[in-house]
Amino acid sequence: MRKKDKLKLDVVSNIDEKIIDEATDMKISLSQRINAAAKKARKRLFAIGGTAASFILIVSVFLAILIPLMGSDIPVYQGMTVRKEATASSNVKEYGYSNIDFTFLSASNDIKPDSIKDGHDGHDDKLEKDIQDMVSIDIVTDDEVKYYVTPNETFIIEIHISNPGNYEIQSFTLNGKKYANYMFKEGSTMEVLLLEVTAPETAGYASYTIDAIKYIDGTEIKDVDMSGGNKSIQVGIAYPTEPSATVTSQSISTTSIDLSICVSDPYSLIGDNELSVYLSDGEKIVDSKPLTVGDNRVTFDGLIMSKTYEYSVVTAFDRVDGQDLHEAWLLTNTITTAGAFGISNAVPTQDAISFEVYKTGEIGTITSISLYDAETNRSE
Amino acid sequence: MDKYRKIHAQKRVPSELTVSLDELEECVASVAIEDENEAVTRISKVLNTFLLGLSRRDRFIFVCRYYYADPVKSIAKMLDISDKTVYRELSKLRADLREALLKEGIVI
Repeated sequence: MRKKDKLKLDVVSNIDEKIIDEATDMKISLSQRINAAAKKARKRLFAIGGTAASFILIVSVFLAILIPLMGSDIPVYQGMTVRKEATASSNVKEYGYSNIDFTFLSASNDIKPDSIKDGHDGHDDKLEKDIQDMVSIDIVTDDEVKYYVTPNETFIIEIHISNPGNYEIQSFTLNGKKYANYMFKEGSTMEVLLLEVTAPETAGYASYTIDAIKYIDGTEIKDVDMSGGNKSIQVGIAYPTEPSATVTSQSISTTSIDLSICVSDPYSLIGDNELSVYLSDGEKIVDSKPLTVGDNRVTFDGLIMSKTYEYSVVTAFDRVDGQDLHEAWLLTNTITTAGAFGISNAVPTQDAISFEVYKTGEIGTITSISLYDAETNRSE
Repeated sequence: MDKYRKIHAQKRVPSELTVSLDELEECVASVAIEDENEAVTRISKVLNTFLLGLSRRDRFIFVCRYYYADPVKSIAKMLDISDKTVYRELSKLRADLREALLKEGIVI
């Protein structure tokens, strides 16, 4: 150590203790204040950090809600449709409509209406109101979209996806079976996936349910948002025949009608739906009877003699032909009750008329005969 | 080899004590007293008197710098002032001390 440095050190070391103590106390005090300030600054920093974190969290949540509403580029499943291979743009739902006569479905009557009218007294058979306009049965249908094909027919299921980001679709699962993109039918796009399917052989509805669609986002495989459409569709194959009804026998009296009605339903399409026969007098429904599939014997009595009635068998079924569950009139006939008396061999002259009166029914007694003047509207 | 040593030689960084003692050089550059002990005694007496005549704040700055050998930056932080201010005040304190020593005839 240099001589001068030693001198300086010795001098400094001789500074009065009180002065050192005073400076030391001040130093401690100031250091504590600085530490407290630093702590406070740290606290403030944490508070600011916490506020910033909360803000970021709120913004993130807000964006998480808002982005889907604004429409992100995540692909969204839109639903499935079916089309026939031959008709690329047409939907197959129309299948079956053109082949069916909706007016009188299989109304194969053994007894002709004309034959029933034999022995009538000349009343007009035409009724004011159609019985089908007066009856309405309850039908419960579902909202499912249904498509119709023929047995073993090859058709195409179209899977529609909104894919604004043009992500590559990697696969989807239909009825539990996974289909990779190389299995998609040619013509598939980023937004419409095509899959060739062969319809079952048996009639009825086949359900096709899509469970998951995967897409490729960079190096990741992600799930398509499946919330945008119905995951299942029904593809129907029509039953070869539909329910029918026939009148196997009938007997008519002046006030009653007896009918033997056979209802045929080989594929049990009617199920729990209503199956009834209604009787109308042309103005209103006068009676109805429930029927069952098979043979039925029905009697309508308390009727008016010499009056024309209409009866009809109604039910509801879905033949899986495109009409869905619908009201069906299996049989409609008019029938006229027998009269009590008839007039024949009328011989009019200038001042007299003669005729024969005969009894046609089992009931009725002649108590008087009056002559009616049509011009004066009076009876003699 | 010499060149290598020159390049890789660790630089000697002067300690804060060395620096602070150097700063006091101007005050005791030319001590007029031959006897070292006497010089220390007399300078110490003038220094203590000088310090007692200062404000508490100036005394603090002087003690921190030349007794504790605190860096200027540290003193500035404690007093919440700039480094420049500390340097300026230390410079004035040293000048005043030299003046006091001159007055007592300890330095020429």
